[in-house]
Amino acid sequence: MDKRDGYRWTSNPTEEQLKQETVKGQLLSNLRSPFVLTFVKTQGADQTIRESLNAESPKTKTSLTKTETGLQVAYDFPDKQLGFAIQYELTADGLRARMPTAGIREEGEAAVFSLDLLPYFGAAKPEEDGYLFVPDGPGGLVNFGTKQADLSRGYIHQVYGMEVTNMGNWFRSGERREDIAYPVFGIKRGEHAYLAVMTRGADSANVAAIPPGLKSSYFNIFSSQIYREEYLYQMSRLAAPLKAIQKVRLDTDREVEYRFLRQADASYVGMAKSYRAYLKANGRIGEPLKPSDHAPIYIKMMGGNYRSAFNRVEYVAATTFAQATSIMNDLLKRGVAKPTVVYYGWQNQGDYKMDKRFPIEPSLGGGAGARSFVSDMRAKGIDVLFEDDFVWIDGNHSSASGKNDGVRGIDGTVYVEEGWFISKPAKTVAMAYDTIRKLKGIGAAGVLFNQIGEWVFHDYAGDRIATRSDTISVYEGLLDYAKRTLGTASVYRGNAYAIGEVGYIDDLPHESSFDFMVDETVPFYPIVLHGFVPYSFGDGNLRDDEDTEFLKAVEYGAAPSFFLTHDDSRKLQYTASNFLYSSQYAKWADRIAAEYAKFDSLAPLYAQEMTNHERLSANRYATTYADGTRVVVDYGAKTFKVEKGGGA
Amino acid sequence: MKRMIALLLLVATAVLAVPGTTHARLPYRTFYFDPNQSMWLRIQPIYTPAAAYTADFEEPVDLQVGADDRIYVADKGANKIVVLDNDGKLVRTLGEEDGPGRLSAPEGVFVTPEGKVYVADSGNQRIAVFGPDGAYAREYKKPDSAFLGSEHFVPVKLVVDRRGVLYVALNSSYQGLVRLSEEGAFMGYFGANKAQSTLLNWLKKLILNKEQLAKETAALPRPITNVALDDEGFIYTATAAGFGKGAIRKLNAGGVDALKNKTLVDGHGIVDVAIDRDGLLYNIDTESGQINLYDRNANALFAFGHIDNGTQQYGVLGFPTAIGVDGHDAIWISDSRSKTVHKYVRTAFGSDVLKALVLYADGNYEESKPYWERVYARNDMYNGTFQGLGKVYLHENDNDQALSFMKTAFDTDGYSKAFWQLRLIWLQHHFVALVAGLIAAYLVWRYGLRLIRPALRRRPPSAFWQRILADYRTFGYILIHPYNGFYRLKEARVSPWVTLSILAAVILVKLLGIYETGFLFHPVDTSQINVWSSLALFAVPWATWIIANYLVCSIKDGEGKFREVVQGSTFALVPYLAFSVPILILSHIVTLEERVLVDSLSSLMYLWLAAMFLVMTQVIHNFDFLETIKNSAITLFTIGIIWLFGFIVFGLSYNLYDFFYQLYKEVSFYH
Repeated sequence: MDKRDGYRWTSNPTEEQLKQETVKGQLLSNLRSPFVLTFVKTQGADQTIRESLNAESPKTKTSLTKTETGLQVAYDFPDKQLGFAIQYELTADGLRARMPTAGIREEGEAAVFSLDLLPYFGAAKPEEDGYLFVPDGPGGLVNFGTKQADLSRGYIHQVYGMEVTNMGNWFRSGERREDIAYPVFGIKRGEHAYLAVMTRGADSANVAAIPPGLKSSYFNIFSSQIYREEYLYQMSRLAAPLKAIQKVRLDTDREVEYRFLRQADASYVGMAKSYRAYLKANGRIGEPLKPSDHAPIYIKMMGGNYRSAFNRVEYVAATTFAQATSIMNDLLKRGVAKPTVVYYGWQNQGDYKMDKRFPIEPSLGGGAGARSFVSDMRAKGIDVLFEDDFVWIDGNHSSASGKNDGVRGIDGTVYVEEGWFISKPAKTVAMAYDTIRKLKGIGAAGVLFNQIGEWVFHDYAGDRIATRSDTISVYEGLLDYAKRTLGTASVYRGNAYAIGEVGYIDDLPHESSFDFMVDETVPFYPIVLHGFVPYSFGDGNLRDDEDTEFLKAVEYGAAPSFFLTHDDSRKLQYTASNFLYSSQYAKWADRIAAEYAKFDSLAPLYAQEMTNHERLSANRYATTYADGTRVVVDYGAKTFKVEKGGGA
Repeated sequence: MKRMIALLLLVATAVLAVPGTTHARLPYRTFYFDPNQSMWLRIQPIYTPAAAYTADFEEPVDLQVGADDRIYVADKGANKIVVLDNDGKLVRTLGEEDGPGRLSAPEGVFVTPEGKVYVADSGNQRIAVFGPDGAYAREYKKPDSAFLGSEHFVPVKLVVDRRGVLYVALNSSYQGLVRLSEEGAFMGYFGANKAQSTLLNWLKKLILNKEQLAKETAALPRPITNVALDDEGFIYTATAAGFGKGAIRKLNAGGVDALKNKTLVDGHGIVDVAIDRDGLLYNIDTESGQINLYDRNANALFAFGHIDNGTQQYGVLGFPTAIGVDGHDAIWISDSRSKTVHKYVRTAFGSDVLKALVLYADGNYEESKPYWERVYARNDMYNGTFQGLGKVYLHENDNDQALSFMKTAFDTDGYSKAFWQLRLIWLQHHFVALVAGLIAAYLVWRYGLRLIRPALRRRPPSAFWQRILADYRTFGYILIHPYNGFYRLKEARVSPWVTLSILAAVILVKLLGIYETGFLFHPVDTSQINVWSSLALFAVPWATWIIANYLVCSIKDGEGKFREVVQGSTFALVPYLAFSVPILILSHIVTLEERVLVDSLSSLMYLWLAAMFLVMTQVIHNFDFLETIKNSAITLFTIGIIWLFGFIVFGLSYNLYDFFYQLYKEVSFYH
C-alpha cells in the first residue's frame, strides 16, 4: 500500500523480516495474516475454549471482489462453517477497512468471538525510532526504545470502558484505570505515522497494543473487534459463578480509518490534528468557541446530601442558595470575572430518592430560593448549571423498579449492585426530560450530566441486545435536547460521542493509568478539544498534588474549577459527599482569587486551537497556540511563562 | 451518585470496585483508620507510586534499604543480590562470579550501617557475607550445636545487630530466630512466637490420654515470616496468620515484646515489616491487599495500595515479598509477580500529616501546630487533626477551641482536660454567685415550702387527689423504708394512673439519660442512637421479670397477685428515678478524674434497685428471707428461659420470612 512519497505501509512484516522471527506455528502465521479471528464452539463440553484462525489457516478460501470504491476480501473457513469479509477502500488521507456485520457467516458450531483487524499493520521492531500511541488518559506513548517492567498482558482495553454488568470483567480485581475516552490509536515510525480512528462500532472494540516478547518480536497496535463476551453467571447464591460465552452476536458494523501522516505531522500532535480534522469533517465536534476577555472558571457548590439517622433521613445542608449568592458576590469582588456555577445536591433529600427530585430541597431555600439565586446570577452574567445523575438508581429507596427500568446483563438478569441498578437509556431520558423542563422554569442555564459522558453499556434485554451504539444515540439525543431547551449540556470525562453536543467537560482525562507500558503521557485529547469545548481537570481544592496539577492544567489548557461549600465540609462526613475533604469557601477564597489571576493571563488563548506541544527538557513543556503564543511550564521551578506569539 | 457507589463498595469491600464508573487518579485508594469506630475511612493519598524498576529481576524475594539509601534486592531466581541506587539505577550485583561467593537461590539480605552485606544463601545452606566494596568476605555454615540437631540450616531472612550478632530465620522453623555470634557460634533461639492455646486444645488435653495426644498434631507456634531491625536495636518480627495476633512484635535484646503480642489491624497476611526514622511501622498485608502504616505502638494509621495478581500498573503489587523505607521516607517493595521493585513517595499532605503525628506522639505539640494546620487546610474529615489541634490548643490554653476540637474527635481524655480548665475558670469567676445561688436555693426549699403549706391546708385537695397524693408519698417512702413501704403498698389499691405516670416518668428519665448525659460519659453521635432498642433493652427485662416473678412465685406459694407484682415492680423503680437525675447533672459537671463520683452513684443505684426488687418479692409474696433469695434466683433463671425461647422463635420465624422474602425478590426483581 503505497503513499504519496513512496513510503510503504505494510499490513504485515515481509518474509525476509519474518525469517529472523523466533515464534512458530500459529503465532508465526498470524504475523502473515491481515486478521486473526478467534472463535468458540456453541456445542459440546467446554464452550469457553477459544481457538483462532487466520488467512494462512488450512482450507481457507479467499475471494477478492472489486467494488465501486475499493476491494472486498471475503474469507471462508469451510470446515468451521465460518466466514466474513473485509472491505478496503483508499481515501484521500489513507485507508479505510470495514467489516460489515452482514458479511459474517456462522452456520455451524463455531461462533465468532473476536476479530483482530490488521494486527500487524505497520508493526515495528524495537530498534526503530518511534512509538505506539495509545488512548490512555489524555494520550499515552509507548516508546520503542525504552525497557519496561515485566509486561505480561500488553495494553488491551475496551473503548469507553468494560461492560460493567459483566461480573467477569471485574471479578478478578478492583483494577482502577482511566477508561478510553476516544476511539483512536496510532503508530509513529521515524518520519512516518498513522492515526487509526475507529469510525464505526468503536464502542465494541478493544485497542490492543502489544510489545515485543509476547506474541512476536514486534511492537504492534490494532483494533480487536468484540463480537461476544465471556461472562460469569451465578447458578445460585451459594455456588461459585461459572464462565460462559454470550450467545447472541453483537450485530454492528465495524470500520477503522487509517490516516497517514508524514514528517512534521508524524507525531502525537499531528495525530491529534488529524483526529480533529476528522471530527470537523464529520460534524462530530461543535463550533469554535468565541474569544473571551477573561478566562472561564467553574465554581461547583455542594448544596448538601443526606445521611441516615435513626429512623429518619437527615438532609445535611452545606450551602443554601442564599449562601451561594454571597459566595459568588464575594468572588466577583475578588476579581473572578467569568465564573460558571454548577450546583450539586439540590434534589429533594439529595441523592436519597433519585426518582423524586422536586421540590428542590427546602432546607436550601426550595424552588423559590433556587429561582432567585439563578436570576440573581443571570443579572450578573453568571450561568448556573445543575448537576444530576440519571443513570445509577438507588433501588433501595426509589419507586423505580429494577425489573422494568434496570439494564440487564448477558445472563438476562437485571444488574444490581448493593441495591443500585443502571437505568435503561429510555428511563434515563424520561427522568431527564422531566427534570430539564422543571429546571427551565427555574431559569437554569444547563445541566451537568453525571455518567452520560463517561461510560456506556449494552442492555441484554431478551433476544435483542440494545447495544452500546444504541445507548450512545439515545444519550446524544438527550444532550441535544438539554442544549436546545436550556442552552448547554455538560458532562464529565467527555467521551468522544458526546463532544459535539456539550458546552463544558468536567474531569477530562488528564492522568495516565500508571501502566508499566506507557512511558509518556501527552495532551492528545486536549489538543483535539481546545478552542472547541472548554474543559477542566480535577477541582483545585481537591488536588492530590497542588502545584503539579495546577501546572498540568496550564500546560494542557484546562479551565480551573473549585468544589465549594459554605459550611465546614466535615458536616458531610457521613454522607455520600464525603469526598469533599476540604471545601469550605472561607478556607479557599484567597487561593481561588490568586489562581484565577494566573489563569486569566491565559484568557487570550481560550478560543484558539493548540498547534504544538513539546517537551523541552525533563521538567519543561511548551504548548503552542494558533497565534504563535507559547506557554512554557516548568515543573521543576513550579512556574509557567506565556510567550506572546507574532499573531497576537 | 457515582461517588455514592464508590462509597457503598468501600464499606462492603474496597477491592470489588465497579470498573468504568471510577475515575482513577491513582490506581488505588487511601484510607485512614478511625479508632473510635474501628473503621477505615477514605482520605487523600499519603503515598503516590513513583516508579517500578526492573533490573532484569527474575524473582526478587527480599529487599533492604542501606544506610546509604541504596536498595539491596535478593533475586532468588537469578541467584544474586542486586544493588540499586535511590533512582533505581543498577549499581552492582553480588554473588554472580564463580567461586566461594557464588550464591544459590538467596532469599534474604541484610546490610549493616557500614555497608557489609549479609545474604541468606538458602540454596547453599549458609549465610554469605560481602564487604562494603562488594567482595566476598566469609560465610556462616550451620553451627555445631546439639540444640540444632538434625534440623536443616536453610536461612531465609536475617538481621545483624551492632555487635555483629546474627538473628536468622530458618525455613518454616517454629522455634524462632537462630542467634549466631560474630564468630558463628550458636547462641540459642530467640523470639519464638507463642504456641496458640485454643479452647479445643485445652479440651483435648483434658479429655485425651497420652497416646491419643501424641497422635494429635501439636499446636506449634507460627513460624516467623520476616524480620527487621531499627536504629535503636529493637528486632521486629513479622508473623502471618492468627488474625493479626502478634503480627508485628518489637523485641528487645532479652526477647521481650514491647508491643505485648498486640493484635494488629490488617496483620493476618503480613509479608514484611519496615521501620522508618521516626519509628513508624510499615507492613504489606496480602489479606487486605494493602500497605499499612502504624504508629510506634502499632496502632493503625493509614492504608493504601492494591494487590492484583495480574498487575500491569505502577503502584499495584502482584506478589509483594518485602518492604523497606529509605531516608527520604520513600517506600520500596519487591514484587516477585511483576519482577519489579516498586517505589512510592510521600505526598506533601502525607508528609504533613505523618510529621504532625510523630510530633504529637513525642509530645511536641507546639512544633506540631503548623503541620496540623496544613493538614486541616486540606482535610476537614480526618479525625486525627481534631485530636492533634485540640492538644495544641489545650497546650496554648485556648480551652474553648480545645473543647470543641476534642469533642469533634470524640477524644474524651482531651475533652476532660479542657473541660477541667474551663470549669476552673468558670468557678473562679462565678464562685460568689454560685455559693449565693446555692444558699438561695436551699432557703427557698427550706422556707418556701413552709409558705406554701398554709395555703394547701386552707384549701385541701379532694379525696380523689388525696389518695393519689398518698400513693406518690408511698412511692417516695419506699426509697428509704422499703419494708414498710411495700407493706403499705400491699394493702393499698394503687390507682393505675399512678402506676402509669411512674412508668412514664421512668421512661422520660431514661430518654433524658440517652440524649442528655454529658459528653464525657456518653460520647456518641446521638442522631444515630436507636431509641427503640435502647428502650427495649431497658423495658423488656423489667417486663419479663414481672411475668417470671409472678409465675414462679405463684407456684412457690407466693401470695402476690399479678396486679400486686406489677405495682410492686413499678414502685421498686424508685431508686432509678431518684438517682438518675443527680447522675445526669453530675455528668455535665465532673471530669474524667472525678468520674468515680458518677460511677459509684450508678453502682449504688443498681445495688439499691436489686435490693428493692428482693424486698418487693419478699413482702408481696410473704416469703421469708431464704425463700426470697431462692425464688428470685429461680425467677432470673426463668427470665433466661423465656428469652432463649423468644430468640429461638424469633430466629426461626425470621429465617422463614427471609426465605420467602428473598424468593419473592429473586422472582420479581431479577428476572
